[in-house]
Amino acid sequence: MKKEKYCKVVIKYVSKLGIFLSAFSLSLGIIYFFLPTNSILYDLFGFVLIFSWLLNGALVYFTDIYLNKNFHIGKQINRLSYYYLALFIASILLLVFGIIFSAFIISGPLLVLGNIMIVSGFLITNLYGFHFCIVTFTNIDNRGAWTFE
Amino acid sequence: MHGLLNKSKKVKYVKQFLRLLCYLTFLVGIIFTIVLLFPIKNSLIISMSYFITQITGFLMFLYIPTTLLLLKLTHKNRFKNWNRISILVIGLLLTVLNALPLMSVPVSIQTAETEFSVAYGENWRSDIPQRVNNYFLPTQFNLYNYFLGFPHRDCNVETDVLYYDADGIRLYFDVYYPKGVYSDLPGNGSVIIKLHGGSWQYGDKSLGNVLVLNKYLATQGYIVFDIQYGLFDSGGSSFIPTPDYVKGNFTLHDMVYQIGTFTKLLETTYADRYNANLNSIFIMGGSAGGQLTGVIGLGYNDPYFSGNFSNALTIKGIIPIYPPDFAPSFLLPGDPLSNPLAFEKFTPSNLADPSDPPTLIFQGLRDDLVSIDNAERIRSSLNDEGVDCIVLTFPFAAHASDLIVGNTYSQVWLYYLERFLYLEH
Repeated sequence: MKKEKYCKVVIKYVSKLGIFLSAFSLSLGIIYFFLPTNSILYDLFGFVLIFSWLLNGALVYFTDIYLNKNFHIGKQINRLSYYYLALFIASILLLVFGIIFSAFIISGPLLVLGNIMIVSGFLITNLYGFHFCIVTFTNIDNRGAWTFE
Repeated sequence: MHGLLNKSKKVKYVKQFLRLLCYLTFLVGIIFTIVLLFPIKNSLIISMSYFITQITGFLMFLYIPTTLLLLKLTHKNRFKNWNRISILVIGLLLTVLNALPLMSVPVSIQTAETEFSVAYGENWRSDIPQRVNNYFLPTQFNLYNYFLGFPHRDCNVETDVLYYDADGIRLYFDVYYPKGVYSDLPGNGSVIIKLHGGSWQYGDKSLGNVLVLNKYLATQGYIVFDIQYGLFDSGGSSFIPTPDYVKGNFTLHDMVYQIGTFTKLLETTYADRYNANLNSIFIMGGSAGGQLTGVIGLGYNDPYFSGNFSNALTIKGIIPIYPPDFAPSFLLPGDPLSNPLAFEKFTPSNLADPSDPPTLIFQGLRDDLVSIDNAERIRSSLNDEGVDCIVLTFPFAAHASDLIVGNTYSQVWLYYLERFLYLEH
């Protein structure tokens, strides 16, 4: 019983931190796309971005263990986690192909396409991660959604 | 009821399909990780290593969600959990092994720091004024440039300027130069002549010659000439894009002659057109272009090449990138026994003399095509003549691993390259 209570606290705080980090990296990422310079603030952004990805991954892992998938909210969060993982994979592919594109194209529509791939890859993964963390956090006290109740 | 059954069947099929995709990703991941870690002398694997070693950070973040997805799709009670444990172990292993190039960045930085301290002294950074430093990358590596790409800088670019039309071929160059006044910028109109790679048979300017770097250097005040040279037509094919109009039955003599023609035109025509500083010239090239960089840069004042190059140019430094230190036999008439002088003069390390310019070499330690011995031979011959030669080595970097500028190797490389150029210009 104690262990389960502890897990609830962990999921609560991981999702809370995930909301904060996703919001932080989203805002700094958008600023970076408009002002792509080199600064210490962006150095911090790089670390936060990676940490938020890892944290969201951990949240998916924990929710999978403790979600009550027979309850409708549990089912919904479970479905969301599937979408998040699928979109995360798609975003990473968009980012890597966007970066390869923009590394080899001097100018023109293909370079624009490469940049669009990078921006959309970043936005999809972070926006959906942000959404997943919010949904998990707001439902943490929902009776029946979790197996630790 | 029938609809519900259909829906659950559909979900089952989708899950099966996803599971298959995940296992496929794992299989590809295992192959890619083997390519990353073990040198295998196979042309397909060598070609794969060009790209894989540059994107391992992304691959790592591909294996994490794949592992999680596969864990979600695999029920806990099946096969007494062994299946889930093996998925977790494989997923974690792939993730950790693909994180190695990112984790090796401090090693590359430490090597570079030591090399620069030996060449310029412990306090080499104090030779760069703060005004100039403001133009440079503030840190050797950052994650946002790695994951979101290195932005294209805004400079003037002129493409496809014809400089050679003879022997049945036409050769063009692209030029990148700064917008506005150069004098305030670190490069101050210094020239960089860039030679692409491709085994002397393939490749092209622009796409094959790190154009993001060309743009970056141009915004720092350098005039970057990215030039073509005649390629040996072996009749073979490659995935490297190569224009047909540069191919012919060319030897290394011809290639050096064509590049020599460019240096003469630079003196008579292009220096004025682009306001270039002929007293500060750098030659840079990768792979076959690195070998030519070594031959031209170190042989510029060699009597063997007398009359081949412009005398008005002062070579301030050369930057061979993973350079072969040998003359390929198919590119020279005869063989080393019947034609020893040519073979000697087209091997960079044989051309070292005290008047040679300082040299900065990029060398991947995972390069199956051109091993570090080549760079070490060039370094040792230059050091014997009292010339500085800095070799920056990168663990896990394969051949051509500088092509994506934001990657783990290129960021560190660029940080020290821009400082080398400033210190020597």
